[in-house]
Amino acid sequence: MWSEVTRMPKFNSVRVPRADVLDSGTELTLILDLPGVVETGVELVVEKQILKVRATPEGFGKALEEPTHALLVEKSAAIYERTFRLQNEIDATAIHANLADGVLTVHLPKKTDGGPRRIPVVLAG
Amino acid sequence: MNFLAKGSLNPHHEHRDDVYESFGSMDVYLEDQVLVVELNVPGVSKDQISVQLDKGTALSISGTRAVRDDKTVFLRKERGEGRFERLLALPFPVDADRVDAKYEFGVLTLKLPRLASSLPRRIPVNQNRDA
Repeated sequence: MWSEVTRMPKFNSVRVPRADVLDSGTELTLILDLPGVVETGVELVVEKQILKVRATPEGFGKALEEPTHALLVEKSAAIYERTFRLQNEIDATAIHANLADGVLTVHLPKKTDGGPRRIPVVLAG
Repeated sequence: MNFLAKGSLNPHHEHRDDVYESFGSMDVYLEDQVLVVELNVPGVSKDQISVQLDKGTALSISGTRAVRDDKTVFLRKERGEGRFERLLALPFPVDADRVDAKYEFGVLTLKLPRLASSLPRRIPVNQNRDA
């Protein structure tokens, strides 16, 4: 149904974000946790049924330049990157996405043509 | 139930070593005499986050991320949902009346100023001239 193309290398500065994929019947929804990221920091590219998400949190790189007295470092700034292969049933031209509270939601509508379709029969006369 | 401590409770959870759990990750650092806490809590509404300070030194941040109904069809389920909690023992007492909290882009940032009475004080050394 849905497969990943590559596994990103484990560089400290690149992280694979957690993802949920939902199937509503008419579309798939991909949900990714991208805390600290604003709209302008998200790059979403679809090419040949490959969907690539790359996101850079606000202030990435800045934190490293300013030495502070750190007591606990777990969420250190990192770029998020993940790639998925889209099934042929996805209409790549109709993909749309929105970002809210550090969560990216990508809507992947399924193609409506090609598959079997019920044709309504209208009573004449 | 706290999903940060227990991991995802969803049976569809697929274990992958290379997937980064950003939810609940925390940075704590000191800016002058202000303790700054940054906690990743993406996808949580502001009114679902609770911050508590006990005796000025025990910080508790808890909340709930909305749980999807049973009818949802998941092809992949990696993100946690439900209740979460993180506790932090602070290195010094902070002034609860002057704590600043904001939630932006899925990150909760708390600024906790050190309590004035706990600031380091210089102790004058007197020279005894009679000696």
